Amino acid sequence: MPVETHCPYCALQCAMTLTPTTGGGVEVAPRDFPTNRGGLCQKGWTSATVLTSPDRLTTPLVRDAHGALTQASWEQAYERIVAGVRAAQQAAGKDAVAVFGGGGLTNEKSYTIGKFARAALGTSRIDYNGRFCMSSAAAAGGRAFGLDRGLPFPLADLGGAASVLLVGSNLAETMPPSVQHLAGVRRRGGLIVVDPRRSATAALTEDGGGIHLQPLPGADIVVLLGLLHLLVAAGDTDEGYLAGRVDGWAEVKASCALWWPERVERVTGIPTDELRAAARLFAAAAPGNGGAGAYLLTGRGAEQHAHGTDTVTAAINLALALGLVGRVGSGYGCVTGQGNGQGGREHGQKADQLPGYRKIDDPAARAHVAAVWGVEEEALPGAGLPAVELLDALGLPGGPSVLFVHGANPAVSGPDAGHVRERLAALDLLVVADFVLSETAQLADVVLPVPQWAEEEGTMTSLEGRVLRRRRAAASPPEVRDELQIWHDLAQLLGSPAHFETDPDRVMDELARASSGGVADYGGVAHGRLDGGEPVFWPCPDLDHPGTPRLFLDRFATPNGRARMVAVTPRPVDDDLRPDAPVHLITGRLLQHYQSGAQTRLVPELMRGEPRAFVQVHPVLAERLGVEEGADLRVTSSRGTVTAPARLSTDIRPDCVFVPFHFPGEQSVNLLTNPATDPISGMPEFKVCAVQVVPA
Amino acid sequence: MSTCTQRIVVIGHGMVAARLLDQIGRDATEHTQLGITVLGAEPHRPYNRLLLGEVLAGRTDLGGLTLPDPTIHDGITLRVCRGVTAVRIDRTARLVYADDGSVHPYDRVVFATGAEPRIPVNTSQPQGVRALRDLDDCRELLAATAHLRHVTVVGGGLLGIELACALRTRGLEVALVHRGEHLMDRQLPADAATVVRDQLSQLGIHVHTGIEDTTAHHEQDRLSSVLLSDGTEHRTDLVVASAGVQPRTALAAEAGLPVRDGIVVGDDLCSPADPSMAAIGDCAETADGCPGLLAPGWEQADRLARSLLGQPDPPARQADPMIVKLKAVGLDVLTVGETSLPMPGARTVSLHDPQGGRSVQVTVDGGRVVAAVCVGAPKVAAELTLSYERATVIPVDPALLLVPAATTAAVPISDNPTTMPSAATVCRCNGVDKKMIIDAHLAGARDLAAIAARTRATTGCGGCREVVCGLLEWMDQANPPDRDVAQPKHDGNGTGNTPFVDSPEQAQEASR
Repeated sequence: MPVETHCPYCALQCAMTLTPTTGGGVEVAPRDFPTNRGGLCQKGWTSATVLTSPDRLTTPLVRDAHGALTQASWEQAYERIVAGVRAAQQAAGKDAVAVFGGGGLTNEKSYTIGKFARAALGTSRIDYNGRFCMSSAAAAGGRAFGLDRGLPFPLADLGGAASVLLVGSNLAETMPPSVQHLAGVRRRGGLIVVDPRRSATAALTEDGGGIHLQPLPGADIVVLLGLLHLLVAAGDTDEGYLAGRVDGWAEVKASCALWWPERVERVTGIPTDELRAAARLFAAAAPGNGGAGAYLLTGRGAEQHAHGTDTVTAAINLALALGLVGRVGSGYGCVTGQGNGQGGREHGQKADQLPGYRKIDDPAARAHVAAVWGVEEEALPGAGLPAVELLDALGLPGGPSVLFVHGANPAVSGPDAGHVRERLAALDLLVVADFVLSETAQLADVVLPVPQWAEEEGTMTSLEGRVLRRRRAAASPPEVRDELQIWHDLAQLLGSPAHFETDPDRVMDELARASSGGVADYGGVAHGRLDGGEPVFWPCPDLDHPGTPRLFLDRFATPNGRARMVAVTPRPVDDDLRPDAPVHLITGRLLQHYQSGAQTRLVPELMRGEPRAFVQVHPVLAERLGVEEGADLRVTSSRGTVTAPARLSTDIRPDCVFVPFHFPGEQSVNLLTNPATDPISGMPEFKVCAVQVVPA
Repeated sequence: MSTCTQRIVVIGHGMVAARLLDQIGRDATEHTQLGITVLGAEPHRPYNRLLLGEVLAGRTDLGGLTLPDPTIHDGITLRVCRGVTAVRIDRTARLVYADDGSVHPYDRVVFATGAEPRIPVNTSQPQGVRALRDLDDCRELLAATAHLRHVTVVGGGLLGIELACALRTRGLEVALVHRGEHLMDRQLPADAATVVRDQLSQLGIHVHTGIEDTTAHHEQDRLSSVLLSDGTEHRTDLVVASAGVQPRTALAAEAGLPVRDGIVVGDDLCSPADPSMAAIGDCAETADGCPGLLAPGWEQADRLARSLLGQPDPPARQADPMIVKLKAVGLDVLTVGETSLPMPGARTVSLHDPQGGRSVQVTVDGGRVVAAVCVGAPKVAAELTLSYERATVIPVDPALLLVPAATTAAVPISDNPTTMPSAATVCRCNGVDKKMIIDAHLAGARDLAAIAARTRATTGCGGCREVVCGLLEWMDQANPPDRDVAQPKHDGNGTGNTPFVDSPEQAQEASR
């Protein structure tokens, strides 16, 4: 029986149909859907390969007396975990145990992992890899609009726009089928891409598609302030909208008086005429100026910085100044990365949040959630630590000595990954649930095999805030156990007062109750309703509510209903160029791989395309270094060294190199990245640091 | 306010004073206790003076010039007096007297009085002869341009050229008069200046260089013409001077502080005669002199803020990066570094292209850009600015710096079916190259659906559809399914040249 579901990878969640094959696997076929329109990239097409990969985990593993991971029964694994948790919490309190989740988990699991941490383990120490992904956009969006949903409009709305401004988003590489939605704007010459590299997305601006602005890495905020300056100068701002719907405009308007084009050029490297052309193009597309509509979208390139929240705020300010937000046919959004990067950040994986995007320090929110969970409100812990701080504290006095990792591979994906590995190694007990022996699982004391996407039921919330059904098409290997079951079992063994559901359908019903009345209200979301094919976008407070495809049309989710502009000041890159590190390092993604690569590196077809890390380098820099195509380069930051072959390309600025981050061990570029974090979002500065580059 | 609050009087409220106030707010700590009084002669909130020319050019309006309020801090009491001019300082009693009769006691005084324009024009009466320095000048000039026709700009430096261009964009007849042998003679070599002059002429601006004297001629009370020392006479309704500035030092001099061109200050930005007196910005004269640029003034403001807060000095100050960039429509001029001094050991390359309106000269030393002049090449200018200021990597052959980096190495990518290389990626989303399409065709996949089924090409974003159709058409011609049957027509714009092959083997050959 063919099963309708969605791709396991990114937040576009391409629709696919899975047909079981005789060998226990499934066959993948793309399915028409408003987001992917029948398209799949190479990752999606080959996704079923991982189901039957010889490398997948089929039994629990426990580290034995000789230090080797050996096959074990579930009872042995649980015993080790329960003993470890009890010993740690008796010695140092509840917070001695920590949980690290992931943005690829279903909504049901994202919800239950937060409940497991707080109601079963009683720890405040939970955070997740979405901190490395969406946190800056979430912080800025929440601050400005009172609500954070990646795209507050359906993706297909982009099709009618006269201009789309993408800041640090490489969606042609990360979610290729989404490019179909840019066809219209390219035809109209209205695509503007801000990226220090001529990425696959930036290349879409060529042949009349639009404009590529190629600033220094870390300078996006200055580009945005410069664009706002030009809008103000030209009188292109939407004063009626600003007066009617926005607070803080006077301060923001004044703040951009200092960013005239020549100064922007000096800081960003963008010629003044290009900046002016982009400002004119974007302004003309705004409805307030008689245009057909304009969208501004940010991606990780703008967000993964020690001041990423400010950069996103500058983007939001620009969108608000043109009156784009909360208008049909225009808008601001961030392009979510991980498969459930949206839902994953709404239901309690974040250190300071309870389900429904409720704040954990809000007494009413605590009381509501405690009642749903059947626990005392006082028993719920307070706010924990954001990811980088949490990982930093592992194994240290006062820090956690036990860590559960679900759906994440921080040994490869964390900043300053060498340091992350040290901290993981310092734990008394590391428990990793995964379906492959990821680099983090390799360090674990207990490894729990869990199902893959095609073997589970649940829901995912896509980049446009639509709740989608993920359905089972294949059976897991017999010894594989679902996380919902694992948390249920462990909670029971630990004597938790809260009951843990194991049926995803019933978990969704509980999630609906827990989120009801919250910012991310899933009160009206139910598997049965989604199975009927109805598109449901949150907030959807009850079963009769149609959901909300487009947000903010009448009011913003702030207390007074008005958007809040906040003036921001650019700060220098945290780890900036110096004589012994004269080149910027940019990190990012490849089409063939997903996140830390733990899954995609198991797919031969993808590995044929991109088998290993490389250093993208401009011929001018290569000649200066005296290296040719393919020669190994040694790239060194203050934190570590990576060696990888040179790939010469004029797509990158001569003062930058680029290395993809999907690869482990000596190719792991996160050995070099800077763990300095954004003071508001906790986002580390993945996207830029200073390096020395020499021939290896 | 506690008794240990330090009282600071800031005299002047321009861009550098605004920066100082903001930086103090940013750097303040919980121990900070400051009472700051600002005396600003202008009645306006502080504004971006650099953009006055842009207002004149019609590229921005006065409302967009207002600077942000300074960062506030609990330990700082800020009192701003607009339209109030300091007139006397009693250093014994430690009091500043202002023209509104107010008296301000101080522990420290900061001079940020700026500079006033020089007007090197011989004239018997003031009518029609003026400068552009502040907001009121700008307003009056804007009003005047509405009913005037002929304007003479005196001063062919950076600001004079900007001003001339701005007035020209308002449709006025503009003459530009310069004392030096060529335009921007402090920054530009003669050949580059010639290109600038040609560009200005093309914009319709009449340029006169080597003019020692300019004399205004009035008829009754109205300015009617200027007489230049080369003998030419220009009909003019207005003379606007942009011929340098004179630091405003009178108040400091009267207070007995040492003054040369500007108020003399040491490395600590304080007067050697009185450490309670500091000066920053255009009015200050440091060991570097009076550069008259904003960036050094801001840097001084940042340093003085730390010093007023009693915080340790930042790392030793580097020499100010000398970057001068012209703001004008249709004219792009940049100079960085000391372009006029010879540099032993350095290497200079240049590209002089007067017909193309372009002149680029770059000096490199020790693997970095140390000076550059760039006229009419905006992209190169942007790259050189970064390269100079951030000491980034430069090409082994400095000649590559003379043209945009992208154009020196770009390889055009062909999607012509015949010429595209066999390993060229056709479908990025699914990693399909030309050879895989050809192989699929040879194996019997003759239409888009069949190609998609076999290779997955076109099944991602669909952007490669046209290229795949082109390849199919090309292959169909080389390798027709049936010679008697009409060719199937594929959608998309197949642009393939007719390949001179008629067998699969030859088709494969052609694809190599």
